Amino acid sequence: MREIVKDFSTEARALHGKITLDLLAVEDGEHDARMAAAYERVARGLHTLKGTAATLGLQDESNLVHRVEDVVLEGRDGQRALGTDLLGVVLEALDQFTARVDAHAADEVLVALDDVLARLVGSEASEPSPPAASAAPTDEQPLAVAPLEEATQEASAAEREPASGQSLEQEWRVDASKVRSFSADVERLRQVRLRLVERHREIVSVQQQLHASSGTLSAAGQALRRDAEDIAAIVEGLEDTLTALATLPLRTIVEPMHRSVRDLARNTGKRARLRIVGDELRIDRVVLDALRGPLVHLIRNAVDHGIEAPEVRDGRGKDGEGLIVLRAELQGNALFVEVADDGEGLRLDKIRRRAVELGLLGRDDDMSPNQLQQFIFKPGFSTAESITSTSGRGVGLDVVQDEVGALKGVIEVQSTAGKGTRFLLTLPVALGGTSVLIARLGEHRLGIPTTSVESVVRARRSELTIGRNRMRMEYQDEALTVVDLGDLMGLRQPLVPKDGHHILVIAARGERTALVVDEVIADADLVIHPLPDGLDPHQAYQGAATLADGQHLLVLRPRFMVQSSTRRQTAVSGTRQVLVVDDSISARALHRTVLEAGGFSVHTASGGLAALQQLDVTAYDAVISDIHMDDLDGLTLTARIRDKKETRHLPVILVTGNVDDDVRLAATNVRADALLSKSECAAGNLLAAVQKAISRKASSDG
Amino acid sequence: MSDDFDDVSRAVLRARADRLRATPDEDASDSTYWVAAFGLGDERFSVSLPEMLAVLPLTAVTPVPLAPNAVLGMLRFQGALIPALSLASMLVGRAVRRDPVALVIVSSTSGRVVALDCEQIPGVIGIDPSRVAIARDGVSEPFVELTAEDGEPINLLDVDVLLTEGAAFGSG
Repeated sequence: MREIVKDFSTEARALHGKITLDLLAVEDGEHDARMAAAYERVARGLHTLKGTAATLGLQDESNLVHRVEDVVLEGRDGQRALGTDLLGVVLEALDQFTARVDAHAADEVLVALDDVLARLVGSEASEPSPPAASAAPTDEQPLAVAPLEEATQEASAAEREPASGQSLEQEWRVDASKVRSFSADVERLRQVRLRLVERHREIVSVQQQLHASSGTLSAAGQALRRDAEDIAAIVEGLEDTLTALATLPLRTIVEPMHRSVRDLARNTGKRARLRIVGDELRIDRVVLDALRGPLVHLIRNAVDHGIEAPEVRDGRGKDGEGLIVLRAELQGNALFVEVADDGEGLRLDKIRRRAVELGLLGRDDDMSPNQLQQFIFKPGFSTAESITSTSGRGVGLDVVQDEVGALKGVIEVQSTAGKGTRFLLTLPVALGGTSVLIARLGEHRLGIPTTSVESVVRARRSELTIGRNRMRMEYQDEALTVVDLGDLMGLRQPLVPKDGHHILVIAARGERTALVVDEVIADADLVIHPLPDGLDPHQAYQGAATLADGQHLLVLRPRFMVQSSTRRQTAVSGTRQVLVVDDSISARALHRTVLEAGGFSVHTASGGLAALQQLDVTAYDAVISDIHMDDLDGLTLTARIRDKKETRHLPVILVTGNVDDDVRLAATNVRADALLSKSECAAGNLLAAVQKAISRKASSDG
Repeated sequence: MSDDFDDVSRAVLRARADRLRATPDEDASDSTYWVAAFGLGDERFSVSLPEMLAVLPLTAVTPVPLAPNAVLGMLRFQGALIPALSLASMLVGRAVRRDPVALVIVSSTSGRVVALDCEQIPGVIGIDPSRVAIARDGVSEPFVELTAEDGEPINLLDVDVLLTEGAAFGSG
């Protein structure tokens, strides 16, 4: 029996949410067709709750709903107004109903009903109504049980009519681990599909090389393409099914928030309403569950801290009722949830003062508004002057940030004094694919979500305005800042685009920027997974996807591209820049650690040929190169550097595993400035050798 | 046993079968703390064998621009993306003798999985558990130095501490 009550508890909570929404809609409203429809839905819902509770032997609970039903029906029939106070009692009664059903399900102590029943009955007594047609309990029998006969009849009705209005087939329970496994299989199938598409491209390419003399090859290619199309259709079908299984509409968690806003506003002497956009979006159940806490917190904060009292709003020329908007949007594997209010905005002066008090900021430290706003995510940070039951304890936004972070998401805040505050949560979702543009930057490939790419244009030097600090280009009557994406990602010194380079116009959250890439390679529909912890301190990436060749592609976050490029200046800073050339990823990391600790800005190349390409476009203060590399060894690289007029005197430090006389002689022959063993490098000699070589060159130049 | 084998092979196979049939000497296995040992410059480092999940060649690591210095990149292991870290960069001041060739995949007690680079494929050696207990008693360092059963010094990594202290894996 307990299992059935547990099921009913889930069902009752869902129904409770719907009834609450409709009750809020009828509160102090005009009697019109919409209100009548809302009343009807409430009546049907209450009827179901009452009947099912009675069937399960939860007689007290059934009686409680019966009382609520009486009050609501009188409201529906115009016999009394369902005002704020009365509605409060009704909502409280429904809260207690679900709490008691939960307690029955968990075999816990039940909440007493006397108080709320007395108030329900009292409300009837204070506004006498004509006798109801049903057998409503009288004042003399406040806790009387509804007639058994009636309860039984109603129970039968409830059984015929599933509570949520959905058929039982729609409520199958599925083991979450099986859904995860299904999801992994679908993704693998997606990878197979990508590989098939790639194989088809290869066959077409081979066929062209063979001048298409082979009809068999052509037929095989066409068959393969058809197979790829079939698999694509299967993947889409499976993903649709999977989405239906593994997701729930966002409304599941946000609908009850209407009630929270109403209650909290009322308790704080304010008026506020919640508007939700995009609540029909289906979100992964796990994400949805974890998202509930942060959203509740942000919305309660908006009411308590954001929305002003009605008289203050009147004075500011705002509507007396504050508006909180919760807006959700899915873009590929990214879910954006925005919580915005039209309240007073963050008080930067208070934030600054509090940050100074807490020792987080010096009294004279210069900080941008955006930097100051970030303090609200610090543990224990609160500017509230008093502690309320809702907030002011400084426990909150840091937890929200942690919870969003645990979902591999990001939270950002924007605020305008007197206008309001806006929180934006960006969260990864596993299901479905994201259309990604793949761009090449030297030897690196990076992905950019196509939804953020407004256009791809070919660079023309004549159309670029190159200033001391910035490059700009005209785009749709706007002077866009042009930034080299390779520079933005720390891969090379700013590149001034040559004719034919691709420039991507990226848009995010109302801002635009133009990014230079070497080449746009392709676009693909990819599944983006969040990066492991600790790899992305700048929140530059939406995640990584696996390409058809098994390589990983890092996919950039549009917001990062736009924000970083507006802050970026193309002028060369005073930092000395060096190029580390090594085919070992570990050696590159190690050299980089040592040199950056010594104050250098470090670019890397994974081989001699890549290094020559970078030297063509970038002026470095020194080159540190491994000797043994497959494509072009360090000795040859040094010789090539010495052959070119521009780099003839560039300091070059060669590195090798073991230094012997032969290597020493070879390094001398190519006029390397220093030769070090790998162990000498990490022991600190590399930094000294680079500094010495640069000083020597400076002396000779001087 | 098949007649296709000569006497020597037969003897080897029989000896193997005998070993497999023998009851494990629980006392003996309990008396040794097994570690996967590898060189880093002039020193030897090790991780507890149960913490080691796999050893992979140092290939297929995708570099992550703007990642902290000690991050080599990321790779896929058992279906999940994991970070690959440069041990020498994390243990600042450690030298390498030659370029690392392998990645040892380790798991912390919290279940976090990372790959650490090493100069060669690790070998398994034993350490007296009492020495491990003494060296680690009250110590919360990324590694402790002790003496292995071959009499040579060895640094034993504490993966949890290493990952906690290098939570940001060095400055970006």
